[in-house]
Amino acid sequence: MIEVTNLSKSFGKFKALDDLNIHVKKASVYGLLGPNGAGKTTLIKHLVGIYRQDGGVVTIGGEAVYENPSIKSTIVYIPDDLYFFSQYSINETAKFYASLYPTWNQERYETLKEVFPIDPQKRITKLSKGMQKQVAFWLGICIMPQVMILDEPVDGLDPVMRKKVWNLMLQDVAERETTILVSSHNLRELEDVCDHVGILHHGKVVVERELDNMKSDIHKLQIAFQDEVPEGFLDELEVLHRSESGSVLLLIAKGNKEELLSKVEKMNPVILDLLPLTLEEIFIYELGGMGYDIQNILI
Amino acid sequence: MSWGEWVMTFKTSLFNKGLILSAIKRFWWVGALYTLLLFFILPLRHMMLKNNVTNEWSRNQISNSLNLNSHQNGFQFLLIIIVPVVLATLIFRYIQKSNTASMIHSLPYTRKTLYASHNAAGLLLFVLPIIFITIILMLLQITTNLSDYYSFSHIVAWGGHTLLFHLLFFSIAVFVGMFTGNSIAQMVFTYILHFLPAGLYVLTTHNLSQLLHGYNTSSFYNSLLDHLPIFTLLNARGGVDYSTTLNILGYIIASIIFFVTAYYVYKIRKIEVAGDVIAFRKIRPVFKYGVTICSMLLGGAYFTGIGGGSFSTIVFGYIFSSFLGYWIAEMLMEKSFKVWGAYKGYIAYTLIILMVLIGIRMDVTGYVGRVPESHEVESVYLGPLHEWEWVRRGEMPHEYNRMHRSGYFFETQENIENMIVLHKDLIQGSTPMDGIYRYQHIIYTLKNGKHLIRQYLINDEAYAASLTPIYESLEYKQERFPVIHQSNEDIKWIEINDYRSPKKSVVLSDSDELQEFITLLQEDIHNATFETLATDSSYMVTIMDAEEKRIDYGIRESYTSVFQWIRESDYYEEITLLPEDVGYVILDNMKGSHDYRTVEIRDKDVIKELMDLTKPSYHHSYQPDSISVRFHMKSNSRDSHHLGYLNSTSAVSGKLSYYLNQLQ
Repeated sequence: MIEVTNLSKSFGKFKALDDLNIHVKKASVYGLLGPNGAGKTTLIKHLVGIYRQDGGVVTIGGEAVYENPSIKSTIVYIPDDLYFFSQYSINETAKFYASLYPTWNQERYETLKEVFPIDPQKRITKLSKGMQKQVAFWLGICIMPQVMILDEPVDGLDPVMRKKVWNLMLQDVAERETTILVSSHNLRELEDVCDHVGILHHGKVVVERELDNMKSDIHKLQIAFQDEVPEGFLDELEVLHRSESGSVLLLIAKGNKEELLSKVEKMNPVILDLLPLTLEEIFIYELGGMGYDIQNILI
Repeated sequence: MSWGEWVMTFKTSLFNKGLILSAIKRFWWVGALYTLLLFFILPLRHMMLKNNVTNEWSRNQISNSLNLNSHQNGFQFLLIIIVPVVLATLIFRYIQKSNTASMIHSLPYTRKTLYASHNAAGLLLFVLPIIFITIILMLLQITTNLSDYYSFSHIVAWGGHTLLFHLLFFSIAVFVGMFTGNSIAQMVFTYILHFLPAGLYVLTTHNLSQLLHGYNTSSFYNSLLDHLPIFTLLNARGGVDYSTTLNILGYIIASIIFFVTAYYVYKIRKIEVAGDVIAFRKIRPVFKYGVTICSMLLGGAYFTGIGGGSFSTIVFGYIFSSFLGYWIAEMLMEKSFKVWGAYKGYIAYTLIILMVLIGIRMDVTGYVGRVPESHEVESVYLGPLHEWEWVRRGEMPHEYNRMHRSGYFFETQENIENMIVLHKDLIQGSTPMDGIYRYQHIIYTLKNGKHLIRQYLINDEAYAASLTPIYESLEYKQERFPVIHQSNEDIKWIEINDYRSPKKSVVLSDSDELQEFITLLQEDIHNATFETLATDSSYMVTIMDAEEKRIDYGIRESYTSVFQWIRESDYYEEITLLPEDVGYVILDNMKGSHDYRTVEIRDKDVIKELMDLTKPSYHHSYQPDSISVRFHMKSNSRDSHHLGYLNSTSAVSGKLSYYLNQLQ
């Protein structure tokens, strides 16, 4: 759905995006991860047609986004730094959006009043930051977009509201095949909702992965042998990390789960446990070898 | 696609109702405020004044209020230059603020639609108030006695002109806004742009005149600068017509050009420049060096103004002020005080300027020393520039009174050569700092059709040697004194008076008397030397010719024959100021407040002496310790007096010096 190829962008002498590529499948939730200043917001502003790229191609649904109203009317963008017209109430803003977006769903707007407990007559700029964010989601969802692009979306939302909002959006992903791209500097926040993750660092995508694959491809094993670790045992495995404490060996290894287990069992360990890995650990171990200190990039 | 459909798609793609309404909804208060102000200064005021019809002042107030020419409409003038600029800044605020820019540009509209819709909203916010007020004025005109003061066409003209100037100012402010990412800068740059051409012109000519001896600083009549909108409005307040077809057409075309250019600039403008002082990297050098040059010229003008025009003052002024301008511009653009890394640009600039200055100083273009060869010259003019222009443009009325002119055209080979000699003297000479001097232009019309224009400060006394052959030439005298080729049949009458005295003048109309007087006058003029012509006159003669054209001539002491004739005629006592006519004299040392002293003199002999001493003379250079001599007339109901000046160097009698000592 979203294709970015060789995107470059400089601000003066500063190279914000450097030959960047991402691919987001339709009806998926794509998490864009990266530390502050990695270029997440810059990338997003290209995706919604605000910035014009210095080089490369940005398409959504196969068409370039920049200066393309028909594509842009299918996209909802919720920025980190929200802006609402100062004189407008929620109802008035809804009316404004209704006049701008042909897909506006008034019925849904009315229904969602139940979810968002805010007086729609109120001026938006007088609301708290968190409430403004709620309004942005409320209105955004009612546009019935094909693509939602969310920049640090849950900042300022309380956990209950966060859950409600994600439920609404994920429902759309399932029912209407909405595509969501969401940026964050916090991996844990995206763990539960994303099916794809891309990590951005210094204007480049360092990794792009499907989470299910990753989780099934990397494993944490706790092994203990009767005596010493058999000679040549580790050579057979693709080990990303090992640590020993006494006779217990802790391995992070890559590969098919069944294959891994069968290989280890052949050595007759006393203990063999498969431990759960957090997404964070997966990244740390997988990327540790790539020269990036991922621990410093994320979290 | 049918025409109607085409128009529909065009309209919907260009303008979006939602966008227009949202902009109006945000800024309606500007329009409302403007309507209110216009309502107060026009219809409401008219209603309050209209019943006071007996009062001419209020009648004038009403009828002038619809005329932007009128002095009393200063407030309307202010509204014209403020309202459109404020509106343009507010309407396009959305491109100057980062989060607003992101929000608006993520909406599903092209820049074309955004631009056109926002402009439409801005236009509506001042067009509607003006139309509304126009309609109210029309209603009042129909229903009340206000129809006595203005007609429908006055109202329409007022509405049209107000709209036109708003449109132009709005379009310029929008245009400027595209080049900056800051709303304050947008307003400041807009006004700077309005004044920049004229300011640059004035500063450049002033600085060149300091650097180039002979550089012409007088501006040409009706130059392009007068058509700049802000000057048109200001000049209009001085009575110049602002509503010429050329102006109106020019302004409409200029507005369209500004709107269209602004659109193309907007199209290529990057959204991320919101907040920057200069929106395009490519024009940053233009801004930086523009500010540097302007401040350099301003500093040059300032330092030569306070420190005299020496070359070292100018160089110091230039370097000092361009240094300031350069770093201020750099700091503004970088939004930081740490900009010392840009020193290379300043060094390069300074080197270039120094080279230019040295070049000018060495006169590499030969400007200062350029004097044509006499065989290249068709004619040469000496006098003020505007007069030469009038003649050249054929705007000088043929019968234009000689006494209102001070310029002379020379075509004889002899005088062309004399002028060249004078010109060379002026090039060698420096600008006089004392005595009486005035700006004179020397303008050569060359045989190849080109003109060479120079301007010098000329002190007649200092350049007497080279002026003498010119002043004493027949060509000069014929132009200055038409009487020398008039015969007494051409002349109706002659009036003679002593301008010092309140006595009545004498009119000669008797043919013989005329004949006699004219012949003597012609003779005196023919014989007049440079010194005579450079001396002030005692008597004034007005000659009315057969074509009802009056010319005044001064009669100088050295016009011996004419003086003799007057003295021997019966009219002498009738017209001349005599010591007996003077009641008393007040001497005044013309010093500042605490040293100020005056002396009153009633002694007849001293009065006579003072009259002689204050007679016009050739050597009239100003002395700093001159004494003013005020002759108060006797037997006159009004307190009439004549003012003369006494040089401190004059030789005086014992009696007079007694009085003079009292002034010390």
